[in-house]
Amino acid sequence: MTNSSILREELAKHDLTVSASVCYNCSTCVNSCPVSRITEGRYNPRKIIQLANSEYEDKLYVNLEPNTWECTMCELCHEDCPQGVNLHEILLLVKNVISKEYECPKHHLAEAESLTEFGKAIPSSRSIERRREQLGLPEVKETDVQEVCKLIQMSTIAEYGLEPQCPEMKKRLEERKKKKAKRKKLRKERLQKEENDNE
Amino acid sequence: MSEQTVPEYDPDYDTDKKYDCNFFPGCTISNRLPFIEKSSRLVFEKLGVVFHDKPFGCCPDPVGIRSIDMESWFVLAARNLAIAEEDNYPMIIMCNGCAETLVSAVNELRHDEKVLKEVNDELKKVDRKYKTQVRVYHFVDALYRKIGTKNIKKMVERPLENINLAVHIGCHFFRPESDLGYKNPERKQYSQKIMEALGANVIDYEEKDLCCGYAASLQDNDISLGILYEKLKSIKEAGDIDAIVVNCPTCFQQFENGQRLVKRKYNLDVNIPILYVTEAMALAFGFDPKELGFKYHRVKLRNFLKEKGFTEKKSKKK
Repeated sequence: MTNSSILREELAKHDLTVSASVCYNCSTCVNSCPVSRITEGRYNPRKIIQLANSEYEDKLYVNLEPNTWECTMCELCHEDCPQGVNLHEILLLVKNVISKEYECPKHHLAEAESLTEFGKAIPSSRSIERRREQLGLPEVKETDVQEVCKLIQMSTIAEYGLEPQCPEMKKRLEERKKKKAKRKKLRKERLQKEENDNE
Repeated sequence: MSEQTVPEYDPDYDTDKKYDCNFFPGCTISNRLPFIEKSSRLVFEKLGVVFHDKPFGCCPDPVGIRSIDMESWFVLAARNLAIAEEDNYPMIIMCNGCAETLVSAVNELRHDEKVLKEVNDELKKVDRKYKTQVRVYHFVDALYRKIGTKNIKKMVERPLENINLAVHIGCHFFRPESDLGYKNPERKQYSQKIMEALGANVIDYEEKDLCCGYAASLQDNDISLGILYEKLKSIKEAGDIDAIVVNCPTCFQQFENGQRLVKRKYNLDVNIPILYVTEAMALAFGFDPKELGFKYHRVKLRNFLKEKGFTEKKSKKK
């Protein structure tokens, strides 16, 4: 189906290949997962691990089935797994790859933007400053945003919030943009096709 | 490092002394819920802690930022640790998320020299270095393990007698255990034990360990509300609860804002005020409710304060 193995590369980089592969499909994670319960199995951590180990990992990014962003990050699956699969970091990596190759949900995007602008994920506002004054609280100490930006300037976060700083990054951004557009188109086509098939 | 050899709390802790600590409120508290910062400062000051404010950046958020880029998340966490290390005071963190980020970063950097070197190579870009010396505490750990309920009890002027509380500690307080390195199963009861030390009745409820559901709301609000509904329903069923006590600002927001939405969607009328651990403590320590900024709570405390007799200015019992 696809020869892309971005996720497997990432898993290897973070020493998680073995952790993902020891899953024996017992579905304990599904039973502990509150999101699985609420969505009646639509969201399924077992399936995410299976796809991460398979040639079909694209489903995780293109079809978003299951949609890893629906995870509420309670880490129960991670805690309960009898095989000790590091679901916590594997699910995070899946989201990292989606962010890198496509785009992250709006809220996350806003956080990334805010981080590059203020050095904090949640910026202050006029009304909050007034409130702090009324409560007799000191002003919030500002962090050195330049420093924050310097540390993340080659990262996916910077891609969401910063103007490209150097030729290398500009080039990378261009490449990613093209890739994203291509994949977006692919996803649209697939969803359309599935819809047609269903009809 | 066996937990058994560590005493319940620091026996030498003396509330008459002054203890310098770095204060890490996190951006949700300082930039969204500043009244929690207020009670935190008052309570810790009363217990002998002197807070120092530092130009920390985002912790960063273990849900939002970490989902986009794990590596940047880690480097920025290390940057905060390096800033804290400048004077090496212990760091007291007021938020579950910030605590998860900073505690797991401290643990990983302490145990993995390769990672430490990589991170320090990055930090060199901004002329910083992390020397793995910093001590970080979730504020509930600082209260229970360092200061101790004995000292907390000493400060109570207005016991929370006849007040029924439901306690919710939040997932990131103790999970993932492998990263946070807490081995003590009793840790889950620290918040409850602190409330009991204040004289309150802590009421058990069925879904005590269930997530508040907040993080799912970033993608799908129906999932988030579904989880919150189960949680609130079991709190309602537990009987006469006067307030829900939390030690995480994200859970605080989810419980406050979600009550209205759960009522609309599931027709479940909850209307129970939410108290931060430090707010409940501030009430018991005899601080004037006015000073604590309760008017900024979304679920109003007017009836709760009136019923429990908190309206008068400082009623000193002792």
